[in-house]
Amino acid sequence: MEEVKITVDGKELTVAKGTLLIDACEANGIYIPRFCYHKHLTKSGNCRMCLVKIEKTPKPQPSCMTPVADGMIVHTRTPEIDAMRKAMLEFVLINHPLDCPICDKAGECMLQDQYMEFSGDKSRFNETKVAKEKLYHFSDRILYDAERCITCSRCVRFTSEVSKTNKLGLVLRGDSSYVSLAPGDTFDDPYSDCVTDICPVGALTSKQFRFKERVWNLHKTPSICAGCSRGCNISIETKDNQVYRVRPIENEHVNKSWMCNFGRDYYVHPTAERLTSQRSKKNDLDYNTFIKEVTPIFKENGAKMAFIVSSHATNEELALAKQLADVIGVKDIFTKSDREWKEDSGEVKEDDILITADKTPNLAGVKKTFTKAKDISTLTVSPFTHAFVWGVNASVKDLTKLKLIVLSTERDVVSDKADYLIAGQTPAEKHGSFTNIDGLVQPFRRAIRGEQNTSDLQFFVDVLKTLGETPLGRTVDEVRAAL
Amino acid sequence: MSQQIPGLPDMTYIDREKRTFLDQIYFWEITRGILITTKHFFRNMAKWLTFRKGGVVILYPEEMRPDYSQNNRGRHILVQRSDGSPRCVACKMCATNCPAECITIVAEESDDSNIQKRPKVFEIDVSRCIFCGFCVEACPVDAIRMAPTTEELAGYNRFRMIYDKKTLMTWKPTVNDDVVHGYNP
Repeated sequence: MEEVKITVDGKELTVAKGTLLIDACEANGIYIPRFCYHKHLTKSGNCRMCLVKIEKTPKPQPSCMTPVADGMIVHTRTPEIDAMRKAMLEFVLINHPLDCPICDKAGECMLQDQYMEFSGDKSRFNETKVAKEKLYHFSDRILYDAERCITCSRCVRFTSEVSKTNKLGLVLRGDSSYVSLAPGDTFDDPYSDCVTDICPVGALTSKQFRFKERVWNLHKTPSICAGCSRGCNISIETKDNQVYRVRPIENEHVNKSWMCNFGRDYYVHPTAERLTSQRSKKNDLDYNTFIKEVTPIFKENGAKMAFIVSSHATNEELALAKQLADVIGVKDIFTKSDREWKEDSGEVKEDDILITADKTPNLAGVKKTFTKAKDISTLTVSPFTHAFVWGVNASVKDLTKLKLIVLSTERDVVSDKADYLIAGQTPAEKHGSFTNIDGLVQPFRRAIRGEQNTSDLQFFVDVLKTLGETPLGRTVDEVRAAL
Repeated sequence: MSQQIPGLPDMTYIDREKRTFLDQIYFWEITRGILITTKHFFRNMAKWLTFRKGGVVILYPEEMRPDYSQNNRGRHILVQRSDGSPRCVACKMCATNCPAECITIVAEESDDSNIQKRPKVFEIDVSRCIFCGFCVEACPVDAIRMAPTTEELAGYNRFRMIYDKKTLMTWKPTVNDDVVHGYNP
């Protein structure tokens, strides 16, 4: 790659030829304000906030449309540029309704941030603001407020370039301009919630998150989406142990800046009935008694045990499960997909953007850890007397006739018939790492605390300890270091 | 030994290590305190005998002070619109600004599409409140104010000191729709 030298605010930068000036500056820690520019969309250059002074050019140039050239001398904060940005903001704010108290975007709004940095002036506009549609229901997920819109066209470019549904378009001109659907259409796009993330103001807001909480009260935990095997990088935003919303985090190699609507709902509205404690067939047990009763069963019946592994498990848990299987001499290990696509769910099965057909996060990790594992469809119950079922969706004929030890998060047919049942944790409640469909291993941390559930990892550690073995590690970090 | 510190107002500071015996028995300091109390006792008695203001303390709660300042920060008021709904839009600015974290707000969708957002729950825990008035300062729509009077803020248990939306709105020092008395910086 050919490299060029440019000077930005007196700082010498060496960047690849053809890079846009705004990208070159951002990579080197110089932030240029923007509304319409988005890293993963085509550049449109309509907001004029990113104008910079380039020497030997007669006028300021939009840095999102200007590729770097050798010897370019750029100034991003001259008095003229600041005055121009202030004027641009004044234009934008002329018809902006200043709904900040009731706007869900307030606190992460680019217009608020840039007003605070570049303007701070009182309005000089004495005339009447243009009144537009305030509650335009794009779909049952997205609400559009035309007054707040600054017509940056990010959402329009998103639907035409990323989700490729071409649902949105800008109509009319000047101060009457607004984003619209085709007449009678609804914005039913499996990625529609991304427009609420990329909207620089609060024009497009999510109905799911509407008025739930102010954004500055949310605690953001970077995590990996467990909705499918793509492994999108997400930020789980919580308050008081409750998930309020999920947003994508930028990752150039996996999900760029996007994620699907299903992934958001997966964390915010968990549908399944959660299990919360451990029990034997007859009565509830406390954790230590449970481990004491279960361990001999593992020890004595290892060879006759069907060991069914969950694809919601993290790589660290899988490593400990493998150690346990080796210790007790399990011969047959089966993999299963914990969640399968159902035709009537309205969920997209597969597309060429992000959504994959494998609806669980770590099937690749399971196959990598248990190389000799067979698929659950090949499982017949006749050679076995016992089964260890990890996770849900173990749909095998007559499986409930075996003696079952179940480690699961949700209630289902198998867990109801279990001889020993212990509740596990969902991906949002545990530390660990997932291997995505392309073999990329991505670690994540816990976002919420589960209800008194023992972690799956702890269960294996305790069983191994009771068997007299030394587990690979007692915590996620120890296991990860041992691998 | 007491010493005068240069640059500070006319006050004396006691250096503990250099105290004399007379300083250590605190005889003079105790006497001085009694003299101050006695001085006020006689001054108040003189006021009372001549029927002047400030003679004796107010016999709360039978008696209330008549002369609270209009800027005194007392009990919270949720200001109402003319139709009786709260002016609050549940933006949570007051809860964010509150140093004692005593305000709880849960927002909901309003039936009126011009208002959009309204509080479903608005609670102030006055047992935790420090009456700083930051909530009043933070409010962008002038929906919360503080009445000058502070009477009847006491309660027999802590739970009765959590004031809900209804309680905060029963108190209406409204002259007309736009003019509300109370602390408003």
